[in-house]
Amino acid sequence: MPVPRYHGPVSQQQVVRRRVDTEQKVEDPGRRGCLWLGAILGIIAGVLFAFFAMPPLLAWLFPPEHIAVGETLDHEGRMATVRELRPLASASVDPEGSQRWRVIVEVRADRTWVLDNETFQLRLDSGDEVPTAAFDHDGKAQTTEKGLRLPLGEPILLTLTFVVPDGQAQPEKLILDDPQAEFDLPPPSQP
Amino acid sequence: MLAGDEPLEAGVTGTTGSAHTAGAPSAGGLAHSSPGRALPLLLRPGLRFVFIGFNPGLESARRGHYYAYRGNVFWKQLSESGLVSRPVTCEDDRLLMDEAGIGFTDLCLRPTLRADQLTRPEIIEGAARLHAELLEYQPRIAVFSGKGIYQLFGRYALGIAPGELANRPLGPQPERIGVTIPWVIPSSSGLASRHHRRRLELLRELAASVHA
Repeated sequence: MPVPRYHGPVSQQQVVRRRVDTEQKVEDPGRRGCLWLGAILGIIAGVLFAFFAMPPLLAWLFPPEHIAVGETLDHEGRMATVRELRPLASASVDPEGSQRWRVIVEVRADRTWVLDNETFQLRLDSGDEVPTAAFDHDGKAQTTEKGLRLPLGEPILLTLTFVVPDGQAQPEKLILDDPQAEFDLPPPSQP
Repeated sequence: MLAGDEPLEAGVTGTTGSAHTAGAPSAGGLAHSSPGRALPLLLRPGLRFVFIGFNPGLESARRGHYYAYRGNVFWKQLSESGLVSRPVTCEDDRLLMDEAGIGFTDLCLRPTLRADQLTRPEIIEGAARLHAELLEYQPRIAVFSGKGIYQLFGRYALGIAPGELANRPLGPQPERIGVTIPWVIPSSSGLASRHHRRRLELLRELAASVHA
């Protein structure tokens, strides 16, 4: 049976038809792999930057405080003055060829200050830094699980002993880690 | 002037703060003292671990127990390590041979404020004595609580060059003392507090190695 044909006027609306796009978007797998590689490389670069570039950058932006001989570090309730540097005879427990050095520091803590064997380090002319091997003091400091707790508001003389494995190396500076400071050392006194 | 009875030696030389008291009572009759010992020898055959300190600290000698100084984390970390089944204190030292197979001794016997107050002949004699004790009792693992202690023991008892010992990593060492494996962990002194996290990790590795 023949379909009756329409012979009337055609409206504009009937001419513009909606187009249904049935084609699916196909992702390029190569592009996804490239994104992952970029992300991983970015993370690696960030970690390398944080580990290797940030410390010198921060040290350049915020250099440790420099304390000359006889001067006192006074930083937020923590005070320290280097009084003496002295070479000592090596002890029975020291490695062969090592040299003991003693640094006497006058300290005063007006807020909590707990020292461990890496709070003060001796920087040598070789560039190495050695941790404190032993503490003596003339006050009421107490050794706790966290280290040597200084008495509050009371100046004490702290005697730091360092064992320098290479006996030829000479002390250059006393380094304090918190607050960050570098103390010039006086000429060594006689043993 | 030194500060009373406090152990002021930092961990780099490995002081222990441990101590023995001559004639101190021993639990179960297993601990025994001998002339010249400040603390009883807590060793016997078949132990899993023997902890070795430098020498008794004065506070520990006074109290008659190993690692008794309050600023020492030895017992706290031992309790957290998995090597023992309950929290322990210095007063449990004599019980641990039975409970956990753990014994105690020191490189040197004389109590001092600091390890550097020991003389070289004392250290040489102590290394030989400790070597003989380990060979006699053959614990599974000898734990040197402080790198400096093994450096001196290795040099004077095992004849290892000091330069070689200085660069050794922590943990198990390549030497054997009979069947005993030496392990080195950081000191438990409060002055070595930055190394205490690593120390606890090594103790947990020890516990895992036994349970494996």
